[in-house]
Amino acid sequence: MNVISEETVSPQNGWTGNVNSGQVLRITGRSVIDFNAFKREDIREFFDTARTRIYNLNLYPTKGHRLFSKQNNPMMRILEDGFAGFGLHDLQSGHGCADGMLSLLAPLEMTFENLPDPMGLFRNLDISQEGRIRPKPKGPPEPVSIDLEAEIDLICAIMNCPASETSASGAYATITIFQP
Amino acid sequence: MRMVEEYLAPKNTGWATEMNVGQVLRLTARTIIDFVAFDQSDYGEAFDQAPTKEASGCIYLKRGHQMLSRRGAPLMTMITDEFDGLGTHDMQFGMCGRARHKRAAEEGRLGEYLHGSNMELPDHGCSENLTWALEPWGIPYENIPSPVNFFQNMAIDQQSGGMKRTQIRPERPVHLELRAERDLLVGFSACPDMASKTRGLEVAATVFQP
Repeated sequence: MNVISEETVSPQNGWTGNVNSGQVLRITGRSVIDFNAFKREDIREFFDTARTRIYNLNLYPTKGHRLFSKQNNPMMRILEDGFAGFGLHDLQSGHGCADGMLSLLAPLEMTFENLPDPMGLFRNLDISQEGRIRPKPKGPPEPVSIDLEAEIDLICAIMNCPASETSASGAYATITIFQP
Repeated sequence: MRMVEEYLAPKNTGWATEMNVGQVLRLTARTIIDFVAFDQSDYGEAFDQAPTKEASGCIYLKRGHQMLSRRGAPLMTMITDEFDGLGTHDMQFGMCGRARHKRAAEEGRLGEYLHGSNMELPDHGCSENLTWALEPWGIPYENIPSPVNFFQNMAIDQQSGGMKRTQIRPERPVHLELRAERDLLVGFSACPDMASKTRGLEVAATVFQP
């Protein structure tokens, strides 16, 4: 796969960019990264946590799952998940760094009311049999990657948003786009 | 309590109404209800599953828990839950509807969703019911949040996080009561509930002034 672009993102900062259909977005990190995705030709269609949970019939996104839009269309496929075995990505929580995400998405005229709930990559949590949500403050010792293949043309956005109580603080993230 | 308004929503239809702060909405049913709420003065302040779960620390809505808005403002408090002990109310699902039924059929996954492989699919579901119910207030589908799914009982595998629908429902209609914490617009769909044996039933809604 050819690298189209690669960028390092410091804590409390973010990245946004185009990912074309067929390209692979690799997100590498070891602390919480909030992720949103929008259909490029109509941003009213966006990655939706509830539809994603239900199409995969799973609380936690991982390898083999697809990300779905609120309009019930597939947007991305998780090709690899290097976090598997270390912890679980989060589809329950809201934004940890909403202001930062809104600044990133200002060119889309995004407002807080329309900002979709994110996927919390590398957040690591545990949900008990009684439904209690418990953060597990344990990240991987070294950065790990998740690879997401775009199934349509997308605008993706991430906030490197480490929460000190739940994950390694001060960790850098790397965003790489590959053309297969 | 003095009754302010009552409505019986037939199977696979929706309804919406305005409520004042302090009023209590009683839902009486034994079928899945997809339920949403909005601040009456700002529809952008809509119910949001994520802050609701973060505040309670629980993935289910239980008695004493509050439904929160996107900004974390309390919209409603669940004060009565007669389903408690039998099952839990879901906040993982979106809404069923034409698009989702079609995709599930295309993927050959109707059996996995407990819909049965040979049944006829309804031409609409909760997405359409809520969209139609909220149309008079000018709220389009994109701005209708993922709901609380009352009586949607899920079995969750602790290890994998895998979820399965169950057919656990109340045997006869039971009450849920939600108190408005501000002036609200509320809406719900009496779900076609294709995973259940009944394939959906009516839902009674009553608004009380304490």
